[in-house]
Amino acid sequence: MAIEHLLYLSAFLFSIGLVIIITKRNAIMMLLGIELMLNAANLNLVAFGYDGKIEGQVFALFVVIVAVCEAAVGMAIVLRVYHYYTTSVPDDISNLKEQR
Amino acid sequence: MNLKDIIHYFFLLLAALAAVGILMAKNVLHAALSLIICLLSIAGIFVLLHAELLAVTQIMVYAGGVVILMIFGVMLSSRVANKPLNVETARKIPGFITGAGLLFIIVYALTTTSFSLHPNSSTPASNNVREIGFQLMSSYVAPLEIAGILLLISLIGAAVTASFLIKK
Amino acid sequence: MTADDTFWVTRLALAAWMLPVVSCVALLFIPSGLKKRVPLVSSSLLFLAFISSAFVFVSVWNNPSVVITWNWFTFNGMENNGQLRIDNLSALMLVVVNFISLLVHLFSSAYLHNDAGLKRYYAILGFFTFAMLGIVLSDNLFVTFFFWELVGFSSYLLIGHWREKPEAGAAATKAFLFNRIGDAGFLIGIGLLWAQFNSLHFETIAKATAATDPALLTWISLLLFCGVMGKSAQFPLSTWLPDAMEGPTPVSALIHAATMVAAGVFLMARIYFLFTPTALVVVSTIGSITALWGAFGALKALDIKKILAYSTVSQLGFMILGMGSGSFSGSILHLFTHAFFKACLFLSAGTIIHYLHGVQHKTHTHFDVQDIRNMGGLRQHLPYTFFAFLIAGASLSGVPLLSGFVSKEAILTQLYYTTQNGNTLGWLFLCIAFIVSFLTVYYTFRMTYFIFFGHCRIADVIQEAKAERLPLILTLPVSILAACSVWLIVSWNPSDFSGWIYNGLGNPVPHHLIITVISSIWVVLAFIFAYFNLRNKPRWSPIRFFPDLDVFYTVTLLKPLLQLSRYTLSFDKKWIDGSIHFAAYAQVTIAKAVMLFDRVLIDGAVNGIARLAGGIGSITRSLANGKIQSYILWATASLVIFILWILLS
Repeated sequence: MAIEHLLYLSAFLFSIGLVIIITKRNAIMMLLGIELMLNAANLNLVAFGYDGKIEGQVFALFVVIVAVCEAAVGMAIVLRVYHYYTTSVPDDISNLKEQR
Repeated sequence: MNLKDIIHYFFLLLAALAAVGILMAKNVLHAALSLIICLLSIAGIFVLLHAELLAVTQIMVYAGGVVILMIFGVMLSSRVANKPLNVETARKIPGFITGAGLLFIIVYALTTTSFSLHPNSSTPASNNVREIGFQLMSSYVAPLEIAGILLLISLIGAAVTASFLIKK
Repeated sequence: MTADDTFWVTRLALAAWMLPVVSCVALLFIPSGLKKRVPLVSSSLLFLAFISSAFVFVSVWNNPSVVITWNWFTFNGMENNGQLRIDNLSALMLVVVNFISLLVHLFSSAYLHNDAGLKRYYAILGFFTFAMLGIVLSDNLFVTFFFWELVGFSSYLLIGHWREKPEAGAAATKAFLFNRIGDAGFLIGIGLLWAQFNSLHFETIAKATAATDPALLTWISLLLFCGVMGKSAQFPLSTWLPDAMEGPTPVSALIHAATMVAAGVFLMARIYFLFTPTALVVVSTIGSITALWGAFGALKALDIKKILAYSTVSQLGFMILGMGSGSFSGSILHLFTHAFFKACLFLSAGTIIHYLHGVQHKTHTHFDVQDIRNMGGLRQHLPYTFFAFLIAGASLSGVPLLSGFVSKEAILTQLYYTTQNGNTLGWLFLCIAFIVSFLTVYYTFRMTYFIFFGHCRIADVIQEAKAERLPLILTLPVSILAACSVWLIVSWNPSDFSGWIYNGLGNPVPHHLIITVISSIWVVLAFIFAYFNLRNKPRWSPIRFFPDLDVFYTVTLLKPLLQLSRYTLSFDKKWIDGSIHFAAYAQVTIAKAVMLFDRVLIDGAVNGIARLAGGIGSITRSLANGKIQSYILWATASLVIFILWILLS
């Protein structure tokens, strides 16, 4: 079992997460993509702590905590946005664009 | 190749396939289920890497919490009665190109870097969980406290943000 | 003549001159409520003018002439003076014009009493009198020309007085245009005179003529004679006068018998010193042609006014013929007598027309009141008019004891003396003069015969109308004029023309008994011929052929001119306008090409740059489309590109 393969998996998952975030026209799918990317990072941290160092695992633990926070708040925001705009498609919400 | 390696690569392949499944999924629920599979596979990999505490946390927090939360979110934010939970895609080509570019960069960086690893140099102790507990309560006690506060704040924030549901 | 006399004569002459124009101006401001008083006001002023002119005549006659000079205008450093002259000639004309004008004013008040344009009529009548007196008093050719044109203008207005009649308008235009033709020559002559003598004062020119080239003088005099031809209706400009009878009859009496047409003869007397023997032959020729043409015209015409108009043309030709004899005295004498008897004839004709109009109005019948075929036997109905007409007609025919005989005799005598001086052409002119006087007797007799004798062709209509007697205001002027047609007005001796007036004019010739006798016998012969001719074969017109100059002019001048103008018009339209249009189209085409160039290249470049900038802008703006995922895409993509660029470079 080579550590490089884990790193490749991590890179693959990270890229997939990014693609999901960009291409899926759904806010919840975006949150899923973020979770996937965070896990890819976690995978990297743990993989480098493979040889007995536990700092990576501690750091990954904090990442999980932050991810939980992010998921909770993100979910709340999604619901709020859905309630406000009656859509969960981010493309339909273009308030950032200059209004003409 | 021993059994451990086989399991390791099985989880590795499963995680990759699950990630592709998320990407391919037409339905949000299917995507969420694929994410659970992916996260569980990663948890399995964590176990093999002797990160048991992290693996358990992963299973509990993600599979038991986050994904369920998301499934509930899907239920709430989609009108299931008159609209299927289909997910449309957009910006496919630029998205894939960007993703491929990122992958290329990382893979390029990985292949050109030589990691001075010490394979099987040390077998992690079985009291890994205990070690982490000590570390958290000693070296990392401040981050832990701050993380607790962050959790609290995010809990309150999420509750306040979603409070319209209660008002209804 | 003392200085005091001169002062008063000048003032009175100016008064006699200006009072008619005062009447004209006063009528312009008279309120329309006082329309009935218009003839009274105007006639009173004319009466005052007549009294003044009579005083002037009495004090000036056979006294040295009075010349009034004033600085008219200064042009280019040269002073141009205007001169007025009051001598025998002008004093005589002053009286005649004012007298006849006064009588016509009186006559018109009855003749036109229902006319809508009465005010206008009287105003123009006064203005005409003023202009005519201007010609009479003028001692300067330019002043003469000035009033000459004013006379023509007021004649135009008076001929066209009944402007609702298209014939009247056409006749007025015709008279005006014919006068223009003559006046063109007149003006050239004046220009030549000015160039030659640097003055237009008659006396100054007269002093300088002796040292002048006779050929030049001939040309100048003939050019000036052109104006005379136009105004006095001489051949070939004679056809306007018969047409001018469209105007009111009193106007015909004043303008087209007594005064305006005589202005030409009067002017000839004024500029007589310019005429060389050669020019006088031309003048006599024109005069004789005119006299014959007019006489034949009078034989052919059936309209009472047209007969009189042709007769006037003939008599004017006779005067001009007399001018060629080397002395203008006889012609002026004839002008003087002619003014009275022809005005009398015209006013009598006017009375007849007025009477028949009244008949027509009462019986609601329709017939041509001026056609002599509708008349006849009118002597029972209009006795006063008949006697006046008879006297004036006899005077016109040259019956002894009447003024016409005396003045005609003067002209004949002058022509006779010309032949005695070895002028062979003189015999021809003398013969023509006798022929004309014969024809005059004939047409006068014919006219009188058809109007007053025989049976009345409209007797039943007149019977039905029961017309009342004519008002005094119509018969009085006619009677006065008839009374002025006797010999006494000219000379004490009815057979001797060299009476008090003749000897006061120009260079008179002595009386010759043979002419008197021949003339008397000739008139009697003519009467006998006419009587038997008309009694045996009463035809309406004794001649079948009469040279209608109007038709001739239409064929020879008018039609080619119209054709030419049509050609020039089409040339204009086709080539001149065409070239202008072509130039315009070319310009427009070039302008369009330039515009296209501008639009495509200049504007295209500018717009292209703007569109490029705008395109870039819209591309960059499309990145910021408000979609979060797009932002993420571009952020990560640019990051990836940046890292790749670092890695690969």
